[in-house]
Amino acid sequence: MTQPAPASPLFWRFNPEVYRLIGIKCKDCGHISYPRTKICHECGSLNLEEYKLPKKGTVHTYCVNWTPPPTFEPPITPVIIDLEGGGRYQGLMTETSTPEDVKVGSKVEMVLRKVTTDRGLNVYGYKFRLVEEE
Amino acid sequence: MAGSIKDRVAIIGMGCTRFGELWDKGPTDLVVDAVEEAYADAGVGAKDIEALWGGSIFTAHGGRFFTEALRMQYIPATHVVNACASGQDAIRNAAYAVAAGIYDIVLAIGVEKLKDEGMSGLPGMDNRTHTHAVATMPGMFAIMATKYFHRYGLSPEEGKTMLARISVKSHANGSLNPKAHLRNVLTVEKVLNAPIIAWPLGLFDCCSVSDGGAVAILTSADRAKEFRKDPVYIKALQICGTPSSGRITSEYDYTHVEESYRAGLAAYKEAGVTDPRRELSMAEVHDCFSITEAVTMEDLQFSPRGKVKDDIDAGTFELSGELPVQPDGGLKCFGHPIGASGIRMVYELYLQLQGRADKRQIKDPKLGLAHSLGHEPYAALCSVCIVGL
Ligand SMILES: [Zn+2]
Repeated sequence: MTQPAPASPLFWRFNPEVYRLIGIKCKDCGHISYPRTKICHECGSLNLEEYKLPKKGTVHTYCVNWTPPPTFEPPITPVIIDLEGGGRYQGLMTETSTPEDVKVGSKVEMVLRKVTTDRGLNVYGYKFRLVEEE
Repeated sequence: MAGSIKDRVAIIGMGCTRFGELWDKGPTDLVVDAVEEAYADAGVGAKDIEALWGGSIFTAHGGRFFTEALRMQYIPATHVVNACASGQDAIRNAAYAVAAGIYDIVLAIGVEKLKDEGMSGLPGMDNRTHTHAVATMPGMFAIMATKYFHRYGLSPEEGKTMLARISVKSHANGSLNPKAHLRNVLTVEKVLNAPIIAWPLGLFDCCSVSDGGAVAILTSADRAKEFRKDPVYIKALQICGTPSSGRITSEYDYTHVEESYRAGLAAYKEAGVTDPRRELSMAEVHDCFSITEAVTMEDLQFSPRGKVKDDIDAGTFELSGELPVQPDGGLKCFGHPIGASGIRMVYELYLQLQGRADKRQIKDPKLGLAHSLGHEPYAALCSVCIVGL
C-alpha cells in the first residue's frame, strides 16, 4: 500500500484548518472542536462559528516512535495536545534534546516547520516545542 | 430495538488456514483452502451456498473476488469493508440475511494477503491532512500505554512488565496451535529487552503481520441439527460506530476505548449476559498490541477500571485461569490478516465449544466472546460477537 502523493503547500493554504488553524465553536453550547466538524459533537447543532485556535496547549499523551512512516527519520515524538480553551491537535514534538524531555502534562507551543519531504515536495505543518512553566 | 439475533442462526461449519508469511500462496488459495475445510466440516458443498459476504481491507475489491476464487455460479456476493471488524461484520450481515428468512445456507468469509502489500507493519490509514500527520498503528496505540501508566500510577517498568505478561501468555497459547503464525515461547525478560517499536511498546508488544483466510457457514437455528449434532449458536452480534470524539474533545482520556465498552454492553444485553466475567467461558479479543488487550479487559468488564494488572498478575486470562483470553494465541501469535481475524476468533470459540481444541481445550466451555477493534483507540469501530451452545 502506498501513501497518497502530497499536494502542494500552495493548495493547502486554502484549507482553513491546516495553516490558519480555524476550528469551530458551537453558538448554542460553546463546544470547541478541532479539527472542524459540521455538526456539534456535544449538542448536534449546526449553528457553528469559526474559532481560531490558540497556539498553546498541554501534552495529553505521547510516544517515541522508532519506526515512523516512510520519509521520517527516527525517532519522532507524536503527541496529543489539549489546546488551551478546548480542541485537540495530533502532532509532533520538535526541538527536544532527547525524547525523554516530553512528559504527560508538559506545556507546549505551536511552531510552523517543515514536517517532511515526500516525493520532491516539502510538506509544512505545525509542530510543538516545550515552553517554560509560568 | 425490536429484534435480537440470539439463537436464530447457527454455525454448522468453519474453516481457517494456517496464518503466517504465506509467500507460496495467493489470495485465492487462502479463500479456497478455508472454504473447503468448512464444506467438509459442515457436510455441504458449493452447490448448497445461496449467498456470501466477504470481509477484506486490501485483498478483495468487490464481492467478485470471492465468487471468482470459489468459481461460484451467479450467486449474490457482497464485499464487507469495515476495518478490523470486517470479518465479524461479514458474519453479522450473513446472519441477518438468514434470520430474515431470505437464505438457508450462506458463507461469511474473511481473507487478507497482507504480506503481498509490502508492509512490515500497519501504516496509519487516517493521515487525512497535516492535522493528522505522522501516525503509525504502533504509535497510535503506544500513546494509550503512556497515558494508562500515567493515570494509574504505574512506572514505565511496572507498566511494561504488566504488558509483557500479556504477550507471554499469548505466546504460550500460540505455541500449542499448529495454525498459529508465531509459535515461540517468550519470557517476561525477553519481552522487556526487545527492540523498541514505539515507546513504550517493543517488538513483542505488537501482533504479527500475517496472511490468512477464515470462513463460517451459517444456517437457521431450526435447520442446524440436520447438518451436525453440535452446531454453535449465535447469541449476539453488535457493531459500535464512532463519532471519533477522541480526535476533537479533551474529554477522551486515552485509557479506554469507548466503542469496545459500548459494543460489549449491547452484546451482553442481546445475549442476556449480566455478569460477563462469570458467565463467559472464554474470549478472543483484538490484541493488536498488548496495551489494547489490557484496556479491552476493562472495556468488556472482565476487570474493574484501572485494575487489569491485578488480574494479569493472578493469571486470570491464562489458559488455566478463571477466564481464558486468546486461547488460540490471539492476533499476537495466530496472526492478524485483517479481514480474516474476526472470523478466526469465532473459529477458535467454535472448536472450543465442540471440544475440538486439542491441547488448548478449555474445560466444558458454554459461551464465548469475540471482539474486534477497527481503526484507532480514539476513533474506533468495534464489534462483539457472542456464540454458545
Ligand atoms: Zn453544541
